[in-house]
Amino acid sequence: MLVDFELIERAKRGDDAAFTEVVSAYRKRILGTIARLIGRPEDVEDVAQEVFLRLYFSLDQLRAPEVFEPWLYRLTVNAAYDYLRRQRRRKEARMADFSEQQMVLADAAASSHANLELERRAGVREFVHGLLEAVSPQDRILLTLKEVEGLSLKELEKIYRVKENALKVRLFRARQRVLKAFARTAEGGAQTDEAG
Amino acid sequence: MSLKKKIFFENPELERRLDGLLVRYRDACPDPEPGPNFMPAVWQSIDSRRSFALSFGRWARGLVTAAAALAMLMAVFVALPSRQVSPVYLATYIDVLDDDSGTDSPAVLAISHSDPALGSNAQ
Repeated sequence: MLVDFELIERAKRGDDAAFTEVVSAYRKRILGTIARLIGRPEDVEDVAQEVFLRLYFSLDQLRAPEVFEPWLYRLTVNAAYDYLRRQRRRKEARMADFSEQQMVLADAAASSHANLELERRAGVREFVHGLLEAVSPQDRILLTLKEVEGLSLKELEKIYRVKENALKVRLFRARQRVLKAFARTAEGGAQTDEAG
Repeated sequence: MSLKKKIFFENPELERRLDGLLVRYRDACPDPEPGPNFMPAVWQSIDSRRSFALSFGRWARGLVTAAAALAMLMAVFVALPSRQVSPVYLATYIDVLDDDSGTDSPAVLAISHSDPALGSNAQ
């Protein structure tokens, strides 16, 4: 916990200063999680603001301060999910859009030049973002929380309020779909190499 | 055998590459620093939501009051005419027949008596 229970209790009772402290303590972590969940740096702050807005208006429903973090993660997951669903409606990304260049960028070894490193990072972001489009927003978020954020199954259980076995099944299926998409991209890259 | 079929359960190489890619993705997306306007923007959103909720609450209360007043008005409107019911509707069917002497009136009887088809009364 980044804050003590007393602070959360005060925020829950409507203390605005306490709420500001809670937001200040968690904002960086939440921004990072959202950045990795949605893969669009330009929209990260908007989604994070939505998370804290929802937190403010739902804090009175928090049963105990001990479950604050899973609660906050749950709000983050919901806000990210809403964002991804809106994005998906706007633009149906196609796996075929991946260029060989993106694939090369994603697989490239660390470069010694700073600008190339930035480009490489942007390439990795774009590539993984596109790869995760192969699964539903729910599975994408679950997979990212587990494999990128490094949350344990116990933590995910608290966030999703589902049994561990159900989570394992969903994670396995999501990973299989992403692997399939990854293989398609790799196959496409190999074919392009052969043609060239 | 196609690559697609092989990958699902027995392609550790591809799985390893995916794991590596996800680690690089984690590195490529470090926790961003919140902008200076982050907190003011959060409070602005909270205040605008609060004021919207307040005005909506006021509007909803007004609507409920108006609906209650209208319901009362309609109740009064429905109750009032029932006190002034016409006596015609209070009478039974038999009462109405009893009161109605239209067919026994002298005028009707005179016509029926003067009809030649009816026989001797006219002679």
